[in-house]
Amino acid sequence: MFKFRASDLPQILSLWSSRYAVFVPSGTPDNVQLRLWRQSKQEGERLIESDEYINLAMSPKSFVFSERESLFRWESNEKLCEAISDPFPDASHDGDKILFGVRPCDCYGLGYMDRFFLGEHHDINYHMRRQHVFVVAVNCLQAGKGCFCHSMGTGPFAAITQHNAFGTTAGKGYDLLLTPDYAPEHVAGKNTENDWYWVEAGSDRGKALLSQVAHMLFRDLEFTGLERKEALLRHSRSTFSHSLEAARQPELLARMLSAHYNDPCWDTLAERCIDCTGCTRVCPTCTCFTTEEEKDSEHSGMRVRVWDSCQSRGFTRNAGWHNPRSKTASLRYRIFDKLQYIEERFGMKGCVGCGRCFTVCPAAINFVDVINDMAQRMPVAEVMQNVPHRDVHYERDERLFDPQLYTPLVAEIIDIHEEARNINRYTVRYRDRPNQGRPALRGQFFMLTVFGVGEVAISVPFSDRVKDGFTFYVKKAGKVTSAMHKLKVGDMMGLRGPFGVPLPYDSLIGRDLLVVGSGVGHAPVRATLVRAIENKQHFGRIAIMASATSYDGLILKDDLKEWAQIDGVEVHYCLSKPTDAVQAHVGYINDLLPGLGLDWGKTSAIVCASARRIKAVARDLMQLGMKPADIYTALETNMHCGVGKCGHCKVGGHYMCVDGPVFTYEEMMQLPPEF
Amino acid sequence: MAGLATAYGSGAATNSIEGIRESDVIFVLGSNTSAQHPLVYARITAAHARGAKLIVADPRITPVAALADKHLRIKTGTNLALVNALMHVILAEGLHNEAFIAERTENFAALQESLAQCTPEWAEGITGIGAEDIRQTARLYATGSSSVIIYCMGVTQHVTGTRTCAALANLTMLCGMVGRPSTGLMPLRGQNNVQGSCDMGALPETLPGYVAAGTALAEQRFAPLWGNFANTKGRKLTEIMAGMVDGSIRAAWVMGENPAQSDPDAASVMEGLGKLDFLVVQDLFLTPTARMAHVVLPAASYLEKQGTFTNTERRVQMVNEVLPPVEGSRADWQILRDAIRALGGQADYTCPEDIFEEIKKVVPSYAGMSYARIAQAQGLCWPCPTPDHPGTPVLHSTSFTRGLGLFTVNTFTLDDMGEQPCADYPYLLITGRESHQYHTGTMTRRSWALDREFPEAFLDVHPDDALALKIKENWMVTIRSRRGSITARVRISKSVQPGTVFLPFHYAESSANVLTGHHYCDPVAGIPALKMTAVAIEEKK
Repeated sequence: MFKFRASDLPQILSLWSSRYAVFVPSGTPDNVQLRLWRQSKQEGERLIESDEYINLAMSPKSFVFSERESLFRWESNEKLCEAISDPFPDASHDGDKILFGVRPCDCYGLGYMDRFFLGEHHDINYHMRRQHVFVVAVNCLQAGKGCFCHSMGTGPFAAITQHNAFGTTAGKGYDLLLTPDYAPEHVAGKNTENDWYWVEAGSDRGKALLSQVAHMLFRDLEFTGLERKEALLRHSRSTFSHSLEAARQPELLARMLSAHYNDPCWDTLAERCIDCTGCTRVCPTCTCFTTEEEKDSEHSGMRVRVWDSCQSRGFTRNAGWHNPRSKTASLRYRIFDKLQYIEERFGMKGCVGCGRCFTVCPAAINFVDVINDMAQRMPVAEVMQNVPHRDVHYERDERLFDPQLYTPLVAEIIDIHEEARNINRYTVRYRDRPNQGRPALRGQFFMLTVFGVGEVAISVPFSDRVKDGFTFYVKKAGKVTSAMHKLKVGDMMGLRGPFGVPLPYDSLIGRDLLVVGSGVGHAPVRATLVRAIENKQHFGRIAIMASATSYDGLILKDDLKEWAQIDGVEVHYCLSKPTDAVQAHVGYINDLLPGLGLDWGKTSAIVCASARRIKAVARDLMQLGMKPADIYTALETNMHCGVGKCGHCKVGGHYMCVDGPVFTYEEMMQLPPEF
Repeated sequence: MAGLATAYGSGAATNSIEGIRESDVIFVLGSNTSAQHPLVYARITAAHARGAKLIVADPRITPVAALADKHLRIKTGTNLALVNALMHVILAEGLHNEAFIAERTENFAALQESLAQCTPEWAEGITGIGAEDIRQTARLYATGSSSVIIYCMGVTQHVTGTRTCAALANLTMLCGMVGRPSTGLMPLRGQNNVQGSCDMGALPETLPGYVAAGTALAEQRFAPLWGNFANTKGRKLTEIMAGMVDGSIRAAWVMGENPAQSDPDAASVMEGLGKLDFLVVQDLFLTPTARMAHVVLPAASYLEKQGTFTNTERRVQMVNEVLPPVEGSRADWQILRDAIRALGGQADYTCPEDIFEEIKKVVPSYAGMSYARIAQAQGLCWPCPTPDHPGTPVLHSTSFTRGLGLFTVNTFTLDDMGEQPCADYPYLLITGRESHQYHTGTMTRRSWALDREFPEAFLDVHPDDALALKIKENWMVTIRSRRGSITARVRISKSVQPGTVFLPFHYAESSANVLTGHHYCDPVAGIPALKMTAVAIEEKK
């Protein structure tokens, strides 16, 4: 351990500033911002030299996760279309930066963000910014009004044992950690000879920072450093006025939250909330974003990503005005995410205990009070005895570093077929590379881009051995799909993917197969279906139920007719309006199920419809003797990025785009009912 | 404003926003503070968290009403009956502040006499609020150590608007709840600089500093600066619109307003604007009104110009140019200066500060301010008469602007209710705003982040009414009034009472003001009763 004189700090900063852009807490104590440090002292910068601030007004996340940044640029002319991955177009990169005076809670937040962005589906934009940011943390001797980090285990001193295998730089969220040790005669704003900072390095980069100021460091010769730190920590812990005791036992907290999922308190809070999204903007662990298309002209533009908030109403609303999350559900989701979902999935705290969210809330919504009140109403013993613990397992999809993560590959439309009313089938081909050159086509959906308009998730209906040209069925619904319906053969679109867990195949072999699809619902099952029919000898009976409002609204009409001819394959139509084209039952799918006479104990079912229809069908199938683990569904939620980053499709701790969209009914029923 | 000016001598908010934090009782009338003044809402929630009592009178359940200890779901248009009944209770139970009344006010006897019949039981029949709730509210307000009243357009946009404001002023004086920190009467302004433009004489009857037009004082104060000027009263906005239709007004210069969408009875507004010989519109964007103009003058936004804004608490604040104006646009002051010169007037201003220096000469309440002082103090509340004056966050602390506070008699009759539902138009429409859109949406609808939240107009309908009308969530409906019809999407919500529907007016394609009228107006201020329109609703075929 080292230490240096507090009075030497300006000189140390000065030395660093010759090689780095050094950002220090500046402003007034009630509005502290990280601003560039300069030799000539400016008003407000005094804050750092005497440790006179409690915390930064905003978390420093914008240094590594920009509020607004470009993901790629695209250009086109009559013959060409190019999408260029460009994670650093805005030239905001001005060399290495040191963030000085970051508090332990925010270091933890950075540590979490490193885990989130640099883990599976490594985020290139984050990576590019993060590698240039060095963090010098300063432990807190005094808690602020809203602070409760001591309950979360994230402060008031930064942990030095916490490991994070994912961080490419500062696994702990800091490179250097300082602990102020002021003499008893210390006066705020003036450093005496006996005021010190203890120094610990958190990374090799931190050691490098230290070596640049080695001549001002003193070695801890008496080995009193750890002892002093311990005493200072004890003192610091005594300064808290807020606490969230329940957070000390994550399992207990998770059970308590489950027990209060439908508590009326969420409604009461939601009524007061004014959707300002302030809580998520200031949060050190909020990572959600949305994308917007910015056009320079008809022939060029870029896709930018911008911070988004689960507290805004548009976050989960889809093109048909359906919103799976009510206002109450949105409000509850944020709190559950911070206290439960993030921890279940990533093994790190989702809340760092900084208290910013309720400090800025104009509606004075304080979730710490809410949880404390809950804990008071339901004693620990009661929770542990009566509320079952939900053990959630997440499959981790480890993919290689992919510089094309957010940049689509350009593909040419080679055929358009009008499949049904407002539903087109597009056949597209990568412009630059043959399909077979791509890695395995394992996935359930692609993200399709109409350049300059936006991107949508579209299911994969073709088998994984397709050689020439992908087909997609696209229903005209929102902005992007409407624009796609205006494209012509020869036009370009963008393709990213495939993403998501596909429908199973191997586990279906040897069984009867029931496929239920409503409207465009057959598109996602088609891949599996085609393969099963090709290998019919490995399956029992295959029953296909095609449902739609009218025959005209049904896709795959030709496929269905063809399949119906195959021995052992049967196709049943269920329509709301009668038709002359085929023999159809007028009514619900459910009416036909008992009459199918499948060997229900040996049947697997794939059901693709709205969440409500899935539930209705599954309930009947289980009554007929099916197990919920044998019923597969594809939950198409509001997916934006496809790689578990943007947060739009998150339900509970699951990102539908990477953990789903295929789930068994058994798994589906364990999700919170918000899809 | 007129109501307060009569009672106090000044129509401005009496207290500061920050002071609300320390109030013990907060009484909110006709204000969706949570959506429209979130920073005021933040002070209310802070006070409430501290233990202050919150009473909200509003026909709708807004977030601030949901937070309230007492939510009075008042029948639309009956505010005055409620306020008079509150005063009746206070007098009947001896809760009034006799010392304050004796020392600081006049005409108390007339008020007392006028309230004799305004019992809570009488008001219950009119307002739909239980007599006991009225009594409790009166007691809460009168016995708080510092009670503040906050109100907005839900009070003013009624036939009884001016009278209700005057009655609220009566209420404050009756209990001595004015002239001290964290008390008083806070009319919340709808825009960032409404107070400032009123201060500068953008009112039909006054010149800068509230000097009445047509008086000798006006001549004496302004002639030395301006030479010959039109020292006459102007017309009220609703009269101007009528004048365009009847031909008595033939040219108009519209600055930062979008009357084609914001004014009632859009059809007649369009007719009037269409008849003008010459229409000039000065705005940031090509608004529906600007599309009708002969000349459009592109103006710079607040980020692209320097000057001051005076907010709802009379705080004069600096606005600084942080971006150069978009090419081809100019700051309002430059446009006006050049227009004045072109018309042969004198306008030798080289910068906004020159104009501010002139304001100081003729508006005594601004006389002690300067750009340097305003910037340094982060805003100064007027009156600030001398350079060493700290500004006045609390008005009327030792005497009222007019000397003694004047109690006025404000009688409520059932004729004051405005347009009532009938067999053909069975629902009562309330118009208002949403948190993420501003006014006619000419600015906020250009921001994808804001517009995404409320991309189109919706109509709040009570579940019972939806059932009767056979309409469902997200369906499109046609809304008809005596003036016209529009379409909007249905949002089923218990925030409105059965028989009442709510529609925001931000959307040009579903303009609420196609439906509203100006047949019913406040007789004093001429403000139309925008909160009451009888409409019929049906599924859009």
